[in-house]
Formats: sequence, structure tokens, C-alpha cells
Amino acid sequence: MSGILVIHHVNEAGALAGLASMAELGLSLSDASKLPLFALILSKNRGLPDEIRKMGFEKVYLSCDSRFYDSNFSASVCFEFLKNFPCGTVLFSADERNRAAAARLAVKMNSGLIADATEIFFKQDGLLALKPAAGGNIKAEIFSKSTLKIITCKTDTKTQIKLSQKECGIYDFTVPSGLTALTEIIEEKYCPKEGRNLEESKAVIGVGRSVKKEDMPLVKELAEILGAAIGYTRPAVHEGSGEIENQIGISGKTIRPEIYLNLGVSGKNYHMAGIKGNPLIISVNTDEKAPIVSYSDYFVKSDYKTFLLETIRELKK
Amino acid sequence: MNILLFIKHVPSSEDIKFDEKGNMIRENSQMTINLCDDYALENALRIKSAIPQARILAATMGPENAQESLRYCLAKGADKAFLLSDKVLRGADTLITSMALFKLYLKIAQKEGPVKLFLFGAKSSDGETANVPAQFAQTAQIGDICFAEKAESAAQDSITVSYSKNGVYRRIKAPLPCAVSFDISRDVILKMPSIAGKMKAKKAVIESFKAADIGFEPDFNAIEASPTWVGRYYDNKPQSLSKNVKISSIEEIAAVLKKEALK
Repeated sequence: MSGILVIHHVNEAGALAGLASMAELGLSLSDASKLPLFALILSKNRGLPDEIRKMGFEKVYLSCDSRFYDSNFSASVCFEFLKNFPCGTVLFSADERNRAAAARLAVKMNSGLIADATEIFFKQDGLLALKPAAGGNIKAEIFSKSTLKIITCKTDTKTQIKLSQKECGIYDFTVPSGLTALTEIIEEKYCPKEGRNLEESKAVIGVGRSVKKEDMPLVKELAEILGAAIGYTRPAVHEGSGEIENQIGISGKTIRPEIYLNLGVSGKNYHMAGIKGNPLIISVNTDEKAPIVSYSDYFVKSDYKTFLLETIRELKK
Repeated sequence: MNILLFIKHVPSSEDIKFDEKGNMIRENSQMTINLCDDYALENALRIKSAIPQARILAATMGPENAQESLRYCLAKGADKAFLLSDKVLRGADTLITSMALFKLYLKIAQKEGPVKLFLFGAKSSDGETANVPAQFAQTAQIGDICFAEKAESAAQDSITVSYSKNGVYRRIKAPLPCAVSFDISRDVILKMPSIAGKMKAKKAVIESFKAADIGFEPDFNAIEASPTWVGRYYDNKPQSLSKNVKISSIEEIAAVLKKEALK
């Protein structure tokens, strides 16, 4: 089996989260190179949604085990799979778990590893990928001359599944005996997220570094009135105002709201790259020269606190 | 018990420059310790305070001026620091970097004794690959826990860390030796170095190695050895969002919000 392999880890978000955008990327490579596209799904549980058969893969292999949380175990299973079914290009989605498994696999195979690719092209003498770097301020071209090319890819969980006419089979790949996990989960609990889902909300309030932690209740009050989710810039997360999971930008979430109201957000590239879908942008900032101004539909020169207090009062009328 | 903390000296995010070939210029840029590495250092200090005989050895591969970030680690409480600096290592990709760090570790272990815990920042703010910690762990044939947020407890033979990702909280335990990479966390406070710490760090001797000192062949060249390399860089400014802005008042915005968001 010489071809392109998508390795996908079924995480808490479900079997298909991120897989559609991996399939899309894999199919574009497959179309350009005429190489077949395969998938190896690593999962704790057996059941897979039926759509997976129609996502354009030639064959889907399913490997079930409870130890895929461990990167050594995952990488060992991928290594054994590639021994049986050699492929020239391996694509992982770039979530935290896959990154470590891909990194270990690259060492096992003595192969080059490209991280966070957003676009991939086959070239005559290798492969070229584009990846964001330096907080998304720049995009870098990364070349790989390895025989086996391993790439972790930025996925978009909002990519719609494009069902193909062709339906493929799902085959078991049994975990070979003797593979071990080197770490152990001693506690695991699901924590319901606070607030609204950033990626699904029609209105999002973006919080920049200048917004003080003690003023967050005011931001939350406005978010409650507007039915908005709250997202943060990278500096705001570094300051401890919000969770890293609610960071908007190239190294965080990509959002597609209808309205993006931002407070004290300067509008650096790495933040703006996470805002898609041409929303109505309303910016509140004391600096009228901030880059955010050029992205905005409305700009208010004000400190965020005055804006919050007055807007909440107006909206409560 | 030796803890080896690998750090990276990175350009501050506002000051990234490239040479004509597209290589990132690290000399003469405003440089700092990588932010995630500072979190790894804080966690190392937590572990050290729980295990009195623990020693923190800080190490990096980079230009000569990477000493500044090593001195920052010494000022905050690291016990010793080591620098691997050689032009032949310039352009090393993550596979070659992890191999070089493994060789550096073997050299440090010859002098300081075996290391039980290898700590890293989860990713660097410049390359942002997050590859090296797990690649190092695979090279060293040990386990890894990547993107940890907090060291919960540590003993002579194991470490327990925790993280919350995608709505799931986990505590993970690993036997030592093990590699752990730490991400930014709200639960860990970054402290400033003390004046006394800074004074001590200023006088400290940082042991420096060349590639040949840690076992690279005399004709080794990282650019040739690396299976991946960086081509050109592009400005990543999102174009599609530029608009004609309307300068507004708070009252006007409240009216817009009433119309658009509360519809």
C-alpha cells in the first residue's frame, strides 16, 4: 500500500471532529498525486459513524485500545501499521496528543516532521508545507526531503463533511502484542465548559490584555445580555484573564461569529487570523492607531470599562 | 535527583528579523526565555521544593547570547547551566535538535550524574512546532507527557502532572525517567528573579560546549543532516478583513448591538 495515510485519534469531541478537514487535505493531495488515500483511526471504542465510509478514503482501518492517550503506545501502533502497510506521506491532525505521537513516530522512522501545516504540496524532489510561525505573524515554507513524510495539520472542526459516491470498507488493525504505555491516567473527569461555545456563538466578545481580571464580571454581564461567548487574545491569556482554551487566533480557536465585539484588542495578525466569515466587527480601544481599527466596521475610542458600564445600562433600558 | 530543564532563547514576539536567506536572526534581536519554558522552570522549582536533594540543571542549544536566558534560570533558582553553541548546529530541524539535546544530556550526565526528569516548555514561541519534547523522549527511550499544566507531585521514582484540555481534566502519572513539557497555565504563577538571585546568576560560570565536545563528527552540518528545512517566510496579515471603519459613539454601538445581537 503506497499512498497517503491520515491517522486520526478519536477524542472526547467525537469520532468525526476534525476528520472532515483532514480528509479534505488528504483528498487534495491524493487528487494532485493520483496516490490513494487511507485512514487509520485510533479509538477507545469500536463504533464509528457510517459517514466515515463515504469520506473519500480507499480503505479505513480501525484500531481499538484504551491506551491511545499515551504517545509512546500510539506511536508504536502507527509504527507497526506502517511496517504492514507502507505509505509515503502520513498526516496527523495537530492536537496535543497527536503531536507527541507524530514526534515519536518521526524518530522511530528517522523521518522529517512538519508541524501545523495549513497547506501541503508535492514537489518534484519532496514536499512543501506552509505553517504559521511566531504566533501567526508569519507563514513559513517548510520542505521535507524524507522518504517518509510525517506532517501534523491544523484542522478546522467546522469543515463540512463532503460525502463521496464511493463507499469504502472498515478493516480492523489489531494492536500487536507487547506494546506498552509508559504513562498512566490516574484521574479523568469531564468538566462542562463555562460560558458559551466560542466556535458556535453568533456573537463573540474578544478580550485584550488591557482588560483587568477584576473587570471580567462586567464583560460576563454584557456577554449574558448579548448571548455572546467570550474569547481572549494571546497576551490576555498570558495575563491570566482567560483560559488558553478560549484563545482566539492562529495558535487558538478559529471563530465565525456574526458579530465580533472586541475590548482593548490591538488586532495583531495572529489574533485576526482566527476570525473568519466576515463578521460585523465593533472595536473599543483607547488607541485609535491600533491595527484593529482597519479591520473594524465600528470603532469607539473609549476605555473598555466606561464602554461596558454605559452599554450595559443602555441595553438594560 | 537531577532535573534537566531544556530551554530556548527566542526573539520576543515583537522583534522577529530574518536574513536574506530567510533564516531567523537571533543575534542582535531582542531575545528572551521562551514563555512556556518559564512555566517549566516554575514547575521545576515546585518539584525542587518538594524534594530537597533535587537539583535543577538548565541547558540550551543556541547562540552565545542564549546565556542570558540560562542566567535567568539561575537567578530564579536553577543550580547549574550548560550551553551548546556551535555554528554547525545552525539550521537544525527538530529531529536533529532532539538528537543534539540527547547528546548534550549524555555529556551533562557524565559530569553531574544521571538525570531522572527532563523538562521542556510545550512549544517555542518562534517555531511553534512542539515536536522536540516527544522527539527527545523517543530518542532517550523514555515516556513523555506533553502539554502538562501543573506538576502535582513528584517523588524519586515518579511524577504526577495535570492538565485540562477540550473539557477533560486529567492527572497523569509516569515512572522516572520521563520527559514532561509544560504549557502556559493559570494555576502556575511566574515569579520574578530576586535581586540576590540575579547577583548570584551574574557571577555563575556557564559551561559551554561545541558540537565536537558532545560527540558530533568534525564534518557534521545540521542543515545537510536535517530532513526538513525552512524556505521563505511570508507576512501572514489576513487581507480579507480590511474595511472602511465608522468612528462611533457608545450610544450608537448600543443601538447597533440592540439591532444586531438582540434581534
